[in-house]
Amino acid sequence: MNNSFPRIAVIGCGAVTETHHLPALATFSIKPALLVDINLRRAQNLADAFQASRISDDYRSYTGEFDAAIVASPHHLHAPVCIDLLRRGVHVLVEKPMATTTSECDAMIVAAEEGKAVLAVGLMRRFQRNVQWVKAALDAEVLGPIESFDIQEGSVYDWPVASGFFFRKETAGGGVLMDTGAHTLDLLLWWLGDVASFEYYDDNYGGVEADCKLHVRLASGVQGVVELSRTRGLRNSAILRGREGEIEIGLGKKYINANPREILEYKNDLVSSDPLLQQLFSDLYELQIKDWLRAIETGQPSLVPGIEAARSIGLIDACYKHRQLWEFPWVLPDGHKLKTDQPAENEALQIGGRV
Amino acid sequence: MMTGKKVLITGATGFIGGRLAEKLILYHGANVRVLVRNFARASRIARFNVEMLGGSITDADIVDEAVAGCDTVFHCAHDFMGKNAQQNLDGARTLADACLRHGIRRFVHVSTISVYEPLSDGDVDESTPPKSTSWTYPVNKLAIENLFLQYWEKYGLPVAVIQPTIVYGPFGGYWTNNQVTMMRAFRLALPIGGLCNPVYVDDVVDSLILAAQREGVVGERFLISGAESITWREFFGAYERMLGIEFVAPMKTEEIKQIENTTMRNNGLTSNLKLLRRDPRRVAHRLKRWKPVNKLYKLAQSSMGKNFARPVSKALPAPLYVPEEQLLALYGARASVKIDKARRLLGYEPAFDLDRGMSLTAQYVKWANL
Repeated sequence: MNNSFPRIAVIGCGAVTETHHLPALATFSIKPALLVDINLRRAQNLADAFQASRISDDYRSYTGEFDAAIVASPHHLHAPVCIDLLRRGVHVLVEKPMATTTSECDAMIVAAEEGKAVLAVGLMRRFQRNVQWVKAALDAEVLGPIESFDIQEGSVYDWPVASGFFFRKETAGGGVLMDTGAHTLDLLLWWLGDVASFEYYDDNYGGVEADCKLHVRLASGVQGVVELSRTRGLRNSAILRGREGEIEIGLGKKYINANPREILEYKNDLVSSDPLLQQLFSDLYELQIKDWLRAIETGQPSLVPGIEAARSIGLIDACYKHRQLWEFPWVLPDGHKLKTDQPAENEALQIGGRV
Repeated sequence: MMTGKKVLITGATGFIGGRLAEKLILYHGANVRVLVRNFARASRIARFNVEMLGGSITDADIVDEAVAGCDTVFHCAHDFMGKNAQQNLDGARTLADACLRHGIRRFVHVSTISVYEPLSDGDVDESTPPKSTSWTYPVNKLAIENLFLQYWEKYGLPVAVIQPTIVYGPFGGYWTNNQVTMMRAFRLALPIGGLCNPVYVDDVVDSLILAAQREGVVGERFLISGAESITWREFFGAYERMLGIEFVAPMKTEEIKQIENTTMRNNGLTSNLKLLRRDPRRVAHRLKRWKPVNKLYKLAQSSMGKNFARPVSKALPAPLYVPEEQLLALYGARASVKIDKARRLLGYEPAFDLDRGMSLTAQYVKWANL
């Protein structure tokens, strides 16, 4: 498929590209037209392994040679690179987080409209069967009216990182909220709707947070907590409590517990397969690319278009603007007072992107 | 005194180095640069506005870049894998050369009480002669310590060496997180009467900062411990109360060695069958390390979620953990560490007794779901 439409470039040759995107393309026998990275040696190694036609440290020299691009660059480059590509009519699958601010997301969506190009976002959890089953079950009110939720996701961080961009505020845009939270909050908003108000706490002292906690009240009045961590093992599940029962969905491990158990018998036309059927992590990347290619071919929206992904970025953006320090007794055990700058922002909350 | 000063920390993604970076920034307003070998471990240090350079301590170019412009260098990095002992020594030399080249004002090296192992009964201070041993960790750490002190004697590297004892506290690798994990799964065969010299991590970090600031400490070694020695039974007892579980099985050292001889060193089928009869969970642990079994275990765990294997685990008694030779010697020694030299020259005074240190540790352990 080297010369067939669409010719695909991969921009950013970090760990996720090596371990997921390129192997997923290979399953469709797609040989990338171009691999881009500032580390040319790394790009060449991957080009050799995945039979890419060309490598470069700047995609702008070869814009005529590809029709679509997977953008897996450091987070702060997502918006400028995608806006440029989309305006040129290049279809984009951008890794999550879609961008680091709401305004960047808006500009990307506008650029996609201007260039008549597909903008899909790599929130691959939406391709999980159990996640899709939950969405359908909630829409069908299988749990009755939702009353509360409790989401925890965390482990001692061990995701492969090829460079330090991930831990720098200026390049990552944030810490665990921006990274893991892009997935977690996307599911929260997709499942349960927009947020009305929140209180957000994290442990950031001038860098990027490793732990955070978000108390949320949804527009529907439902309240709950989201807790995320890179330093400790958490429950790694979402518990959704309704008047008729509750479910617990594994966020890393793909399980669903339900009380009463009969809740799991729910099926409909959209979600006919068993939600507990196992999927490999690599399956999700393949489904994501398949969906993106389908959207390019048919002109229909992808499963996770920019406008959907922008909702969670809107919430993350608002959290950072209104953050409070999560204080732990062992950090300043003698009550030492820090010289802290008071948050400058006091603007009206813009939560959930489109409230 | 450290305010606005550029300092380099190696090993800042670890337990002591990480807390050192925090205190240097929060309490002293230092400008911290860290050398990171593995960014995947950088979550805690990245909470601060630190300058992160990626690379190994054995890479002369990156080490040179890291040291350039620094007032003080704290060397906390150490690879505990025995096979990387030479790399630790090579890295130390690379770092010392760079520090000399850039004329840094003070170099503080984090060593360990282990350089005196195996510990003898009685008082231990900086004049206690190191013993001959084949254990990799003490040999490697002593060699590194001696290398730096030779650099002071021969070339004037302004080094001070800190030798912490049993360091515990939030995020604490071996003596907190590992012990808590062990306690959840095992009971410990502990020699009766052995002395422990615990020190809360903040006291160690304060001693490092004092070593960076004080005059008259260059070329010296300092043992750093808490205010008093306690028994290992008391030390682990604090964790037992924290977790509400029984961990220690007090025994005579000879008894423990006897158990070790009958269980740990036999690997044949007969001994495994005997082991299965005596202690089924231990065999399950061994089996789980075998790749095909491990794969099946993970698949089952993935399907069944957090409830997997819990009923089986609860039904069986905790197996006995028998410390290996080096640890057994440490637990059995009635050695009392003296910190008079640190008090006199560094102005060091431990601020945390066991109750206060363990109270903070307990809050961390609960929060971290250990």
